[in-house]
Amino acid sequence: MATMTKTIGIAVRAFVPSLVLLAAFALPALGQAADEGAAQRLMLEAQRFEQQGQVEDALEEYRVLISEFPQSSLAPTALLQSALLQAQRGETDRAFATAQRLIDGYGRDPAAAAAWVLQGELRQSTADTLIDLDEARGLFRRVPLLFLHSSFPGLAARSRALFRAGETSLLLGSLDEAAAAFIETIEDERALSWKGQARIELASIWLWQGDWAAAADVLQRVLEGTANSSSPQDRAIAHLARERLTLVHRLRIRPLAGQRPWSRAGQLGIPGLTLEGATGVAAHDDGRLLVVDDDEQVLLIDFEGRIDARVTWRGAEHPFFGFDGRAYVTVGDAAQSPGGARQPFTIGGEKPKTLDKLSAAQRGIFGDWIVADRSTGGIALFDRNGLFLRSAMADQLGEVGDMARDARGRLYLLDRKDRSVVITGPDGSRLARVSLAARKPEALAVDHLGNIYILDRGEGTITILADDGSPIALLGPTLPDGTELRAPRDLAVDGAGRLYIADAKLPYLLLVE
Amino acid sequence: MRRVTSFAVVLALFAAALAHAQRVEEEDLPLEEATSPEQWAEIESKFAEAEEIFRSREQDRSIELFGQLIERLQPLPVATEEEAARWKELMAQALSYRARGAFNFGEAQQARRDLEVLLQLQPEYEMDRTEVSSKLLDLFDSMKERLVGFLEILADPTDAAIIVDGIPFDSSSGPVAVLAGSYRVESSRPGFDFLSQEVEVEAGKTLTVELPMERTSAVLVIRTWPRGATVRTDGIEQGTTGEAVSPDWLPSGPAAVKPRDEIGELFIGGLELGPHEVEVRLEGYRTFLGRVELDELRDYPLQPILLELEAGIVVLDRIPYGAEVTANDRVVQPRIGDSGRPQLVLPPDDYRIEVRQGTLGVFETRVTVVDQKTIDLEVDLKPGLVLMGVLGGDRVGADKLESGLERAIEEVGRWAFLDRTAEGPQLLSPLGLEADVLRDMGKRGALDNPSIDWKRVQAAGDARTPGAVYLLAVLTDDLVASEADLWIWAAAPAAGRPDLRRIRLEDSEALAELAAAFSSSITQARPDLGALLIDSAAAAGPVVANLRQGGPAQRSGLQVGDEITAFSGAPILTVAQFREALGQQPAGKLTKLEIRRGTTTMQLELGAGAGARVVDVTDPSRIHAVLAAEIAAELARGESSTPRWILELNQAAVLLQSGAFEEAVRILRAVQAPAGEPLGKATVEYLLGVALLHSDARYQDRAREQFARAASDPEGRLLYADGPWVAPRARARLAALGGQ
Repeated sequence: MATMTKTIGIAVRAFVPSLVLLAAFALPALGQAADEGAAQRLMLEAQRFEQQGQVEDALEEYRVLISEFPQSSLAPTALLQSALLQAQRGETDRAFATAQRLIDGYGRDPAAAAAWVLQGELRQSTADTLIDLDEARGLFRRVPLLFLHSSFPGLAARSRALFRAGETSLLLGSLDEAAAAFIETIEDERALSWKGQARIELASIWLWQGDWAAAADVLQRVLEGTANSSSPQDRAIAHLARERLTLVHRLRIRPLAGQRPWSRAGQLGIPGLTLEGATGVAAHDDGRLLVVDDDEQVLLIDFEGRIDARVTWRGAEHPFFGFDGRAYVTVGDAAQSPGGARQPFTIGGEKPKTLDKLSAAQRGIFGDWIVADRSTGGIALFDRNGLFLRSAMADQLGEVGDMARDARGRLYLLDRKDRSVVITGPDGSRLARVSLAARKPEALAVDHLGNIYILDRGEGTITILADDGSPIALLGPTLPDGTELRAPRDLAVDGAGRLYIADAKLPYLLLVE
Repeated sequence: MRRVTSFAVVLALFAAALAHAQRVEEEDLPLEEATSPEQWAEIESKFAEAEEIFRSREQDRSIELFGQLIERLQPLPVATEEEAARWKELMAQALSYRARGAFNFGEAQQARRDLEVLLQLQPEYEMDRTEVSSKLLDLFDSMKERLVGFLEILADPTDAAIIVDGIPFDSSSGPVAVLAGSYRVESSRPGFDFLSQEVEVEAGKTLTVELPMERTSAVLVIRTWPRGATVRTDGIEQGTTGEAVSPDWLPSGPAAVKPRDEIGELFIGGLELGPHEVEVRLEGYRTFLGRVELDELRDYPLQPILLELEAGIVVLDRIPYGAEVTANDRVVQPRIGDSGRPQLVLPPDDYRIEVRQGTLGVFETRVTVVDQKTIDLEVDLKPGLVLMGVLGGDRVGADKLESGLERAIEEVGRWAFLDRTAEGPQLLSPLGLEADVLRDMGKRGALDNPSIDWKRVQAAGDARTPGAVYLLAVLTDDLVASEADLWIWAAAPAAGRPDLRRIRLEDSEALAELAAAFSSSITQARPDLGALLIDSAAAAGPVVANLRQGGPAQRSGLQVGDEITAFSGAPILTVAQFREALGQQPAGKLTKLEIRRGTTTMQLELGAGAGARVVDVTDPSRIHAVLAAEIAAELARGESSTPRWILELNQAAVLLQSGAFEEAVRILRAVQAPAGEPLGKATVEYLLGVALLHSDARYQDRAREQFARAASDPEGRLLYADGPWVAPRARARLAALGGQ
């Protein structure tokens, strides 16, 4: 099209000398309009390919647009879309480079803000260390500095960047910085997309910092703002807010009012759920449950109480939800997720050893694996791909019988032998040890407030401790409804502070609320 | 066409000149043919020069100079009576001087010719006998004796019009010198016979002509103010009162205060004796109708008729003090009428009446004013939304958007929709607001562009198309547009920064959503409970999570942990239900609550208060420009139920969200917020901290100070008394700044 315009220009000059001046002024403008039209057609074509799942074709259209019409107003968007598609395909380095090309070439375009965010998210998703996370946070932090909201008031990418900056700060343990970023997302930004989640995260920080009233205020506003929404994302956020408010009510307000946190116990009624003696249970903050029974059934139950997945795996035990939100159980020498891949664990070195007596496992904030095995002391650490990294705390831990992880990425290790709980940071650094008065500590769980729940198989009780070890409550051996714990094997606590107890002598899960 | 006077037909020079002047007036001569003031000045300068030389020793040279002057004067066009008189005087003087010069230098023939022409031109001409030689005087007198006679005409009645050879003639001051010869004398006067006769004036003699005219009818003399009214008698048009009144008529009564030249008269003769209907009509004035009885053959001068302007009254009820009123864009001043209400008196016509007062808003309506009718208008000032234009080539889309916007805003009812699409684009284009530029900005979501100074844009609108909020729409496509970017900004003193909204033209809800932003008020009070209620899955109803010390809820006996199960007897399950029920209660009214405390169910009475609230500017449905305009109007009104400091806090909050941080700082520093109130000092300190934080890196220490103060008040709230806590937010911002 550009060539055609030039030809027309030459013809006009040759035949109509008086039009030379006019042509000299008018034709570049005509040419630009034609270029923009051609770029627009390429963009539409690329989007069509994207919708049809023809990613390669879409990328090619974007490539042509970028190389042929770099001056087009659509070029930055084409670069961004390319980078996003590459990221979707797992081509992290290529996506990062494409985003960089966008930043270098069109630094003031709002698409460049999205490119910074994409780079940050790529760094975040591939982070292996806190340093990597810090680098990701640096990328997020640039967006509000480069794209002032006085100039770009509704820029969604800045809102997203601020939220991500808060998220990474949270994992880095900088709660105040995280809170400030979430507050900026909520108060200073107009884009709605991240406000709900930012409020949820902000409330969490204030809960951890002890300002539960301010946290409850925020959560209540989230609930009222999303309760009537039909959007699935809003509904999920509303559910989360309601769960957290219930947790605050149960564990902060009721004790203040002299009331017991839990007043009822009974069978968890799940349609179609029949267990042959529950041996393991895990709960996620979002309301999902993962249950294992003596028949080696593994059941995933969604937050509305429906069975989402049911598999039978020989040797399945120790259910848990990883930091990635996925459900796992240990099966022999591996961790396995219903519907997901199996991850075996082998300690490397001169004499590789397969860990086949797993007593607990978890997945950390970097996607890394933390595994306890009865045949080895301490814990073994594996990277996100299951590659052995190192053994840790062999001299500090006797027998790790269970482990849990909280929302901040902290790991709680139950040392049955030493009858204590060791708390480590997301990077494995030891933070605290809490001694237990339990006779035979069997399992532990951690709630969103950081309270520790210890199941004492010897006493048939559940002790609830604050993260500094101070006692909060004791349940059992006779529960509020009169049920006695006979062979308790595992426990879990959900986002609302409901307790789920797996008792090998009971054909159902016990629910205490 | 102008007829140029010719020396060859000098016989009737003056007459021709005069007649010519009259024709010129009638025919509206093109300007380029008239004698310009510069030409007159040049001629007079030449005359003065020739006159000076005439009086010098070189008098002989003056003969030629006067000759040139005469040549120059001959073809000179004259356009008015004044010019004709000027021409005549110059020509006569030039002829006289040349005659004297020629005579002195022995050119007696030339002198004789010049004097003859001079007397033909001006028969009454007299030479200055102190200056002129006796010989020349003798020559002049003898020639005059031979050429000039005197005519005197005595008409009865004396005010009859006398015409001699077609020219008005006046011998009331005595006989008039004329060239000897025969003349046609005519006399006319309404109500009398017309007379015409031939007379012969002999040189050197005086002819006195008596003209006794016979009355034939009564005469109605009608004088009107103003001139130019059409007069009908018995339905027959008689003429207009276009003539100036007779010099001997002396006005009396109300007519005496009118300028004499604005009064015209008309003599109507030929009327039979008996009664006659008189109608006087002039456009824009009320028609005069009268009746006269003519009993005898005489003149009937009526009292001067002062015509009254046609006018209707537009009463402007509730017009605010100091408001500017325009009628069809012309500023008019309301006066207090007989009813004691401000009113406009306007000639009958269709009017667009506009009342405007600063930021209070505008009232615009269209009325048809009818003579002697009163229109009552209730002035309801509304902030004006000025549609500055819809840019883009898709006129179908533009029209659709324009009418849709107007309909949507008018349905809201709280705003006046002011269509300025005719002048808006021309006003804004030189300021850089062109479709292409704005499209590019809209596409990128960018409000800034080096070529656009929004402060100037704001000032231009305020000066030329004033309103409270301005809206410029830009269609995203010139051919077939599916979307439009709406650029919306407020009038000063709000920040001159725009809001940008994109709407789909086919989406009927988009305009409704936009209109909703114009419908919500900023001054709503909010129930104040002094408690944080939360929903819990483990509770039967809203749970009291926190109580403000001394707040309404605590005073009512509520305790932390209480679960509210019923409100005025109706079951309550959620906080939202409770809030809705509370919102419907008048402030302070006691309400029965059923609560569950532990295992006990009990009842108590709650008396909730009410408090002001700051608008949530982060609410995306809000348009900052609209908020800014509403706040400015409330502040200007001065009678708002909302405390001034709350309005200022609102103003600052809007500025903060608009990115006008320095202005927000300026306002927040001046806000007089109460201490010890949840919504008060801590609120201002926190917002000031945010404004300082964003305004400039240099102010981080100041921001830190503000956050530290705000963090020290555990009860400080944002938005309203039960709003979000300030302290934890301030602490987080402070910590992020590295403060303690």
